[in-house]
Amino acid sequence: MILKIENLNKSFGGLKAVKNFNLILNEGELCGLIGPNGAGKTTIFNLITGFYKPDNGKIIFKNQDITNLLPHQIVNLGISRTFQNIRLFNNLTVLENILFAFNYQINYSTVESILRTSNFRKVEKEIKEKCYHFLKLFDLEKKANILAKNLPYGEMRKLEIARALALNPKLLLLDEPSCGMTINETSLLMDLIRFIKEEFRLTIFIIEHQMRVIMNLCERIVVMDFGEIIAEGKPAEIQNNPKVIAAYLGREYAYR
Amino acid sequence: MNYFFQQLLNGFQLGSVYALISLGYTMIYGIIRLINFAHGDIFMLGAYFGFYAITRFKFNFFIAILFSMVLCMIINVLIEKIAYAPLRKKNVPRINLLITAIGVSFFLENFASLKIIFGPDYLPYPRPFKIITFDFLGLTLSSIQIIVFFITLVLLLILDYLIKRTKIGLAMRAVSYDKETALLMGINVDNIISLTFALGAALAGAGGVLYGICYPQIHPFMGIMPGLKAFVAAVLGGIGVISGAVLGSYIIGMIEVFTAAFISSTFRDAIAFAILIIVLLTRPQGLFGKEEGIKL
Repeated sequence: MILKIENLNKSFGGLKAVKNFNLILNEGELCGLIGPNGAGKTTIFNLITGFYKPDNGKIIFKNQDITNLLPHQIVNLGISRTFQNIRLFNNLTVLENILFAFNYQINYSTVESILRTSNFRKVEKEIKEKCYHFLKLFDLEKKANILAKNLPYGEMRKLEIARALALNPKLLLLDEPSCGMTINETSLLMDLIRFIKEEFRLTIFIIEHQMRVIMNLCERIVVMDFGEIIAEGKPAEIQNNPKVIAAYLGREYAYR
Repeated sequence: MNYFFQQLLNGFQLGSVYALISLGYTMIYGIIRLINFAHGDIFMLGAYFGFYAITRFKFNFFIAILFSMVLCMIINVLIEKIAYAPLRKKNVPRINLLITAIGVSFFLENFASLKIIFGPDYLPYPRPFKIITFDFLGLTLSSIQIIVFFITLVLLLILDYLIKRTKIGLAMRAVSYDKETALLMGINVDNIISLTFALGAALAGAGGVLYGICYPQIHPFMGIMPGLKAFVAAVLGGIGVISGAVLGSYIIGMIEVFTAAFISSTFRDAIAFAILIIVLLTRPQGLFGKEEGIKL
């Protein structure tokens, strides 16, 4: 068990975005989170990563209570994420975007960097090499010096995932990674997700709208509607669950 | 002709001081989109700290500058933590922060005027080193000017290095692009904001001491005009753009000195603010700014 969410509640004004949400993620699992628009999926991600504070409930990551930690502390414990609308540092290069994520895991002081001590130079070199190794894994090394905003859409997504991984997470949260992708790009994305899961020994929690992606990729699926979990299980079970069909297509379709 | 070049030199001197102030405006704007109107008063405090360091504590001139920089850093970080950070956390509209900044500005000016602090009087600034003048290609260059140029250059180079080459600089750039994503990279955004205030204050503090030895008279309201001029310079260069602020400062410094030399010294302030109005009307993003316009 890597992540445990207990009785999480969050409301915005009168709207209950998340109601009594309970979830356990096992180590090494690839779990999907689906639900109609506005079901509260992204809110869950924002709660896990510390962007929102829950009204009550608990989030436990690797036996540590992270409910009241700040976003940067949570990242450093090993949870990183991507966004539905890709958020890269557009005016930095591909390499710098990765460098950035790496930079925060290494130790040299500002004084050292001004004096350019040997330690600093050694560390600096190691990081550069690591970054290139990373870019190679994602087939981005030829584009290292291109500004992030000039990448094609599919590669932006890839870079965002690569950057999230450069933070050395144990748990990766992907928010609709296939959003806006062509069928072809989506297939590549699915391969990529399988690949990184093995390569980095990750637990992945993924929000997704495309059923093809979710059904092929996930070992377990959690379905939300109106802030609550309405179903949970293997892809095949979910596909035939009347509650899920009702949530997606309306009640009259469900029990026909 | 010589007179012209002599004025060019004077403009360069004034521009250097403006550059040290306007960098703080532009960096703080870049990171939290706040026009920190109290920045000119940090510059004033810097001048006073330098004054006491030299007259009271008998510090060496360079140590006095460092002393002033450090104290200004501490004070500006405290101001940020006490006055701005609580507002930022509440996500108030930006105009609230701006008004707070104006309040902080008045507070600092009047607090410094208190008899028990610095007092309301004009004080003559000490000359911590001998003024020697050199003849250089027919121009007169004083040791003051050399020191001002030298210190400004060193500080600008250090800043440039910090921002472009260190992880702190990278973090500052990241926070100014996108705070939330920066948070996700494990950056303590609050620390980076404090650091930006500290850097801006350090430069303004050094600027205050240099201004004191160039134009040797200080008083608690001395920060207003140079502060506003540096603000104009930052807007002219494109607020949020670091190189723009430096260039804008030299342009404003030159224009001011040339106006005083060739037209009339009574016009120098009017011209600087006329430039502000013209820039905002014709090119609100400034010379080097991105096309997003100025948002107060």
